Amino acid sequence: MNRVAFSPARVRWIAGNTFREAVRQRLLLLLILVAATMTSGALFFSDFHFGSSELKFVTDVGFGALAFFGAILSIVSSAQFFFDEIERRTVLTVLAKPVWRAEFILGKLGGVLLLLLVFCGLVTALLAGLLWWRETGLMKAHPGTFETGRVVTYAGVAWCGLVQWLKLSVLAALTLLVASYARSSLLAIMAGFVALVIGQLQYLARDFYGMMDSSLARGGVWLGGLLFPNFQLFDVADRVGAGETLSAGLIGGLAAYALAYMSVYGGLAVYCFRHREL
Amino acid sequence: MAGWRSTVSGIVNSRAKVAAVVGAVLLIAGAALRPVEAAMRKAEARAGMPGRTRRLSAIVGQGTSMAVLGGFRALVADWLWLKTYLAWAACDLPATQAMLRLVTIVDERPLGFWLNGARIIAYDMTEWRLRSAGREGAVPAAVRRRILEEQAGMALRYLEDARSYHPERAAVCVEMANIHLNSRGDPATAARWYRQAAELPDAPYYAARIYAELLKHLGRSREAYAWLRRLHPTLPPDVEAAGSRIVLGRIRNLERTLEIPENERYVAPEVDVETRRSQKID
Amino acid sequence: MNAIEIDGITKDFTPGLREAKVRALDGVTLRIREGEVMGLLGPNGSGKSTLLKIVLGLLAPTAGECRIGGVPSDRVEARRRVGYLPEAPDFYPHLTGFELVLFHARLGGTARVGRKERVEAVIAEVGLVEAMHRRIGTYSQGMRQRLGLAQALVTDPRLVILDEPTSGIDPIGAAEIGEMIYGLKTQGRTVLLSSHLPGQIEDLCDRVAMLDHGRLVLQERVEELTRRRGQTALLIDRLPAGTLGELRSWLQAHGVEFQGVETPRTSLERVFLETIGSLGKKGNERS
Repeated sequence: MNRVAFSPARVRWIAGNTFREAVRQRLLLLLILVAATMTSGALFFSDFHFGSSELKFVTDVGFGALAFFGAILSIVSSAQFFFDEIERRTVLTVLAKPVWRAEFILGKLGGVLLLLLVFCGLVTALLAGLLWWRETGLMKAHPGTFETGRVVTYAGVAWCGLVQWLKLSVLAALTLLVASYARSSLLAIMAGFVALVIGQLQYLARDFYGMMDSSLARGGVWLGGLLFPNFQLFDVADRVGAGETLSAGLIGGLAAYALAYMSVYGGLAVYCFRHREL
Repeated sequence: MAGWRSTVSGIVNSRAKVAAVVGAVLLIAGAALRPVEAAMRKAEARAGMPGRTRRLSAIVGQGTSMAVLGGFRALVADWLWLKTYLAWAACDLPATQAMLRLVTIVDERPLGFWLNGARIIAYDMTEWRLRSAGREGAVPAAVRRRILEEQAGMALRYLEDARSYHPERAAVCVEMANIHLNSRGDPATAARWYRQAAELPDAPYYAARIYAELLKHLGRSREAYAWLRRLHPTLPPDVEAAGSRIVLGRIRNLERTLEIPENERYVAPEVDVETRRSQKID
Repeated sequence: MNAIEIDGITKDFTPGLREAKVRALDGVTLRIREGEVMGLLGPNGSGKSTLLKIVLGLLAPTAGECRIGGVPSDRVEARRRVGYLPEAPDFYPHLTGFELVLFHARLGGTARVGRKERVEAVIAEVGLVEAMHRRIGTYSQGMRQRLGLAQALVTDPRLVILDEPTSGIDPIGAAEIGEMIYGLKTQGRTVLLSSHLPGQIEDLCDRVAMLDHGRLVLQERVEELTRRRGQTALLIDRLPAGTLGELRSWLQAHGVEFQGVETPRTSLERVFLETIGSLGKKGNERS
């Protein structure tokens, strides 16, 4: 009998199915509305007449909303869309077809990544639109401050949106890895949030505890630091808000870092799922 | 007993094996990616972190510390700036002072925090203290002088902190010059700071002009003349803010005042715009 | 040729550290021939679903082997021509029936050309044409079961595995599914049907394998099992009064042991089908 080869097309169909189900569940819509409301609410800073500094506040609030709600979407959707398949037994009907377990897992991950891309894209576009509109108003009110032209680097805003998507994608892959091993969606979701906190703060643990005398503590922190990615690296929104530019080297480095972790987590999720009894 | 052991063995063998493989691969991957991570981390940002974090925790407690370190640093700083603004609007000196210090501990990067903070310390707080000291005109000159000096000193120390984070930003030097001039009435020191500002890459055009004016005010017109002669060729004629014609006018005035001989007078060069822009004052 | 070969399958589960190991299947050996309808009968917890999952490669056995068409069942290739309907399936509520079956058609490797037509044909076969563009969340249990059959059949499988296909369905719906299963048999497909209802197995299957506490206790042709050996029943329509005694005497005179007289009975299920069926079953479907 001819071998059934690994099929990127099946991965794509499973990803598309996951994305369609997610969109119709309206979780994405709800989070976009909340993020948009929060971002638009930042415009109330105009009442304080901060001048061009107001643009920094709007940028910070916009990317803060993207980071916060994006993390929720990333963790919850990764865990929930996986466990839904198990609880509904739809995973049985899919895997009863000539479908690799790897195709299934990678398809689920692909669907979540697509969901996150749409979320980050829409919120970033909204933020850019709000900044453009507000900057135009400020340029008319305070022409002296804008002698050299617009102060917001819109390319930087777009790149920052992409970097946030990379961070959320790594988080999604990590959550899916936990889900592929765990027995409940609640455990997977909690583990995802714990991993986010550890990944965000682990550099600090290294700085503090790395100075301790106890070699056991230092070793423990070092090992722990190896297990989780450094999410702090992806926090470049502050720089964009402060008017700094993002270098091509930085963006390329972050993309490579994120792709490496996604590959590791995705591969391990496939490994765990292959050993999972359904 | 044997059944229990085989049960444990069964569980340990299967799930533990998977967990062990996952852990081992993560450790290897983490070790392999550590150099990539290190290349992207800026050593100077990380070196200051432990000290900053201890100060932060002492002031605001763990909750804010976690939010700051959790990647919402800029957002927390913005929120604190809003609180600063509200304290300022209420003319609450202690609260405004505390918040200004806190904002720049949380996020030292936005220059606006430092500049606006320095202005609030130097000018607004002076006004609040004078008001609380007595009606206008009723405050003794010595008390007035003391308050002005104290607030100016605080503002200048605040800006010295800013310079440690923004050593190449002309706006900090300009602010320091303004405080020396307006609050302390010290044009000589102000002039030094204007010159320092003018020599930085992002200097506003007016910094160099004001330096020359202060030199004239201090009776150092010849120095002013020499400075303006070196300045004018570097100014782009097509940029109104550069004030090329204003500077030329001041050169001519000084030539008359100083009675510069005709053959030694400044000849405005017919240099192309690009060359002018690329020249710097030495 | 055998469609499925099951050799000495044993499956142990270890629920948790404090709980003892559970043996769900114990040395089950079974052959299912091509074109045969095999019933897997047993009470709840006897290991039927576990055995089906091992056949489909969804679970790994602790011991033993299983092959589908000669290919080990844990290989992806083994599932190339297999259709599976799990027990009480609950599909994606936000997809339409058409989208779901199309999704499975793609995964199953149906040819791109004519794929949508194939999907529509299978949906028509299971009687869901009117509902196929509605979301699955609005379907009744019977409709979901028929949709499950559609996704199992869309790839034109040679082997169809059905786990409790009439679970939670009214008698009319069950009868319709029974008809569809019979249709699979006439098409020459191999069917492995799992149920805890003996009547269903008796009506549809050629052979039955009985499981109890994970062991295969019986496997035989249904016809052989249900035959009362050495007995003959005569069905007489409108026996004239008074002739029963003569008939009994004649039989006894010829050495035939006369067991007794019974009035034939129908079943309540049959009465229900005839009564409700005649009223039009489609109007009773939940919209």
